[in-house]
Amino acid sequence: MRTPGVPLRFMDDKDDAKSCVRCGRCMAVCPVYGTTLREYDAPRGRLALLENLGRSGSGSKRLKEILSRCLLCGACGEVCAAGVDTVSILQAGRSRLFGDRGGPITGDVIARSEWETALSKKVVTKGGTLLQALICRRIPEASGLHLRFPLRFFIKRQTVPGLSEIPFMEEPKARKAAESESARVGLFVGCGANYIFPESARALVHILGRLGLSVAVPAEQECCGLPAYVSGNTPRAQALARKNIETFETAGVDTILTVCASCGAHLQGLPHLFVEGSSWHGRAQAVAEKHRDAMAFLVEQTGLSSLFRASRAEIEKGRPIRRVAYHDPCHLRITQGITDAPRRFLEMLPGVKLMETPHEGRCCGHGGGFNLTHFDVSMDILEKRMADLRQVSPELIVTGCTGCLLQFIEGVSRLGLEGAVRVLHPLVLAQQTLSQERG
Amino acid sequence: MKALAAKIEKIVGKANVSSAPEDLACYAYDAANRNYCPELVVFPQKTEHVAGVMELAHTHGVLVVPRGAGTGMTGGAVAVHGGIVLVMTRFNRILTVDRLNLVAEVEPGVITGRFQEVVEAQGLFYPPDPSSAAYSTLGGNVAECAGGPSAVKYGVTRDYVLGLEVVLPTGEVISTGVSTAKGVVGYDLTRLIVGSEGTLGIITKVVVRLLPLPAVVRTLCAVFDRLEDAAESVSEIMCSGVIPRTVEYMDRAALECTEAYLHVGLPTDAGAMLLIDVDGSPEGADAAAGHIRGICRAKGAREVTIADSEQAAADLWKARKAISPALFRFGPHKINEDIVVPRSRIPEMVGWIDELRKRTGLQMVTFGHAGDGNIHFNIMLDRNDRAVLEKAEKAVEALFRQTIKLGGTLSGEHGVGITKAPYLAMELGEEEIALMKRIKAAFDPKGILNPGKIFADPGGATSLHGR
Repeated sequence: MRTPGVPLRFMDDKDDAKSCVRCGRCMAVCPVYGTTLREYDAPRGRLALLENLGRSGSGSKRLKEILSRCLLCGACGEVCAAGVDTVSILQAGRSRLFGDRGGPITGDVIARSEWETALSKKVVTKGGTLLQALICRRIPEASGLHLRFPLRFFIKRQTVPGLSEIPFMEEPKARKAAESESARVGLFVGCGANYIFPESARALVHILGRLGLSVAVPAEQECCGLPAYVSGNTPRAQALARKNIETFETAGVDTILTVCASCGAHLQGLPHLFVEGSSWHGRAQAVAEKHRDAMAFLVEQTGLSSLFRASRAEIEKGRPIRRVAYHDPCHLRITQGITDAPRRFLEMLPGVKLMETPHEGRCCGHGGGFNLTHFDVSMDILEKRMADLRQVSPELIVTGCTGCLLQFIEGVSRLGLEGAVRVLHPLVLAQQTLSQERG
Repeated sequence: MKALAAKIEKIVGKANVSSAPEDLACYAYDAANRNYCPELVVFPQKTEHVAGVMELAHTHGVLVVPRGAGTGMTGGAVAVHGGIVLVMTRFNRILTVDRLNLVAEVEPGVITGRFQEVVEAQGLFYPPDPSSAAYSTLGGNVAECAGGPSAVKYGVTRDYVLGLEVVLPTGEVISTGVSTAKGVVGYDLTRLIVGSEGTLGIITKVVVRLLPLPAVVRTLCAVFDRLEDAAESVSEIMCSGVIPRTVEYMDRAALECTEAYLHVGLPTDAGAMLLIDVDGSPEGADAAAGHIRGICRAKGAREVTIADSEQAAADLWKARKAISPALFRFGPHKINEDIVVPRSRIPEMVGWIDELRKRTGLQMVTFGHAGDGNIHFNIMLDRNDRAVLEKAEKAVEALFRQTIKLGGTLSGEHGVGITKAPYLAMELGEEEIALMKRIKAAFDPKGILNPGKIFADPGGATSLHGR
């Protein structure tokens, strides 16, 4: 480690000219560094380590631990003066250190779901990490072993009904939609919406229906592959990507919608998984180009505002206007560059007053598996975001990402605000609004 | 070192000491971007921790390098000769904000921008605004005497430090200065330590002076065909009784470079653009902006815009803030010097730099604080290209000579550290350097605190831009 830094070895050739100059700008925005104040938790620190590692270096346990302590939120890349693609470099580093060896990066929980279990439909990754952990931990609970947050929390929450209910994909409506051949719009459900928050997928199908759009939900779709990818298992992520690409090619849709910011971000990045110029790269690109975030898609539909406008007077009559705080998921704001569409969507909803919070765009601290393996840091980051949100006294916290939703449910509970503040996907809020109108 | 590490663990706790190579590698650099690996990283949280570590270090003759966020530009926070890096980021409490006396007590690890946010919420103002404010620490700012654009009206860090608590290299804890607006008892140790780059002691508490927060800031932008006219306008403004909060300039090269990056329609055919902020009461600031517009027009500005909203002001500043990222289009590495010349000599200096650019063919861009003559001189290059690197080093040396010739100084706000150490004697006389070394020895008889900084090591261990 004493050798002076050698140029980055994990970069694509086209980025070779760009390297970290250690200015420190990223430290102002990194949620993890902001909490621990240790340089190895700063983006430039991680880059320094990867540079020192070189192409032939092997990773120590400590290095793996350090690389696992990144939320992959992308805030550092956003402010980097030198334009370093920090997330890709870290990703490449993880892939290099963990990928082919199949070692766990983000701890035992992901290890269990990713490496020990054959990946079948029931074994999901990001959301499933949680669910599977829950199932695993039920035994210890029965045997009286201590259960720690957040798992104990989720077991007790009514927000984890996916555990015992039918996953969205197996609901009759979704099954019917799977067969829809005329639909031009396809839904990529994702594990979060399939197992944990099926109501968000249901809400989207409902709203699209009200707009006269039928939606295909191809049955052969898999996990998007983001959890495998971020834990360094690129081959697994590639396999999932190929399957999803084939599925949506067959579906023949023009548009692929997602309701989870993380799934969406990963679908847009699918081409990065394959060598440029290869046929899979081209096919991934075609899928990525068809992808739209559901809310960004909806606000462009001409019928949407009239759908809500028609019922505004009725809904707002005699009912208090609700204070709604919107949280920008990093995977929507940074990775997909979407900040306006969800706000415009929410502003259309009757009975909603959209509140802008301090430090708009701050990360919630969930970061997929990060939340499970670095729970305390994750909670420290969450605490800051909760403080921002509380300043506007919201009745509802809405955000379109599975991870963020799980995190805020936890945050609200930790502050004892369960009765006072609800956490919802914006689409679910919209659907609830529309059902109020009926009755 | 192992035995010492065990003793230090007893002082600060096991979790706050590390010798893992991965951790050390992350404390081997600062924003000067050189690598010198320490042997131990220690994270103290209390003055007693620092005193305990220094006592041990002094006894055993072990080198210690204090460090804030590690965002200095001259290598002040790196362990050139190894030893312990003492990371002060856990000293992150704002102890008191005394509104009635306009004084605050702050721990050195507090991020400057966070401190500003906190005092501004109370209608107070801590003016020093280094561009790193969002991630650098107050202690680091004090140790380097950081400046910023607002120095033209409000001065630099030194003008706000009333007193310090400092752990000496020998382990004693001293208090310097006062908590009052005035104070002349004894030598001014506070001023001596401010800007001493962590070579005299380790700052564990800072007492700063605050101001009431100005009600409004107004931004105006003036475009000139000739840089000379812009410079004359600045001199005229400064003598006219209205002191702007900031006067930033961008020359044509900076405008071209930024426009190529931003595509917002910057005047790339102009000789210079001035970006001026004024602050005060709404009426006062409006009047000042109008007054400055008049001067710029009289001096031949072809266009003067006063922002009519916060958004418009932010748009005007966008170009200035984009220079840094824009520069990286010209090369992966940056040599960044912060020379200062007397305000009136900026055109002469910029003209000379233009010649130097043509002569060397190097990618050079200047911009900076026209109000106080502080010019940020940047060469963009690939450090791995030895021939270009050598050429750049020669260009920097020539720049320094020219700066001194025009009555300037080698560093306005970055300090000497290791990158400017070889040039110290260009600006300071033998007697002055000798006196400074005697002062250093009085504080640090064994020379264990931040060695290799300010005064170049014999043997050139810290040669410019080399590593």
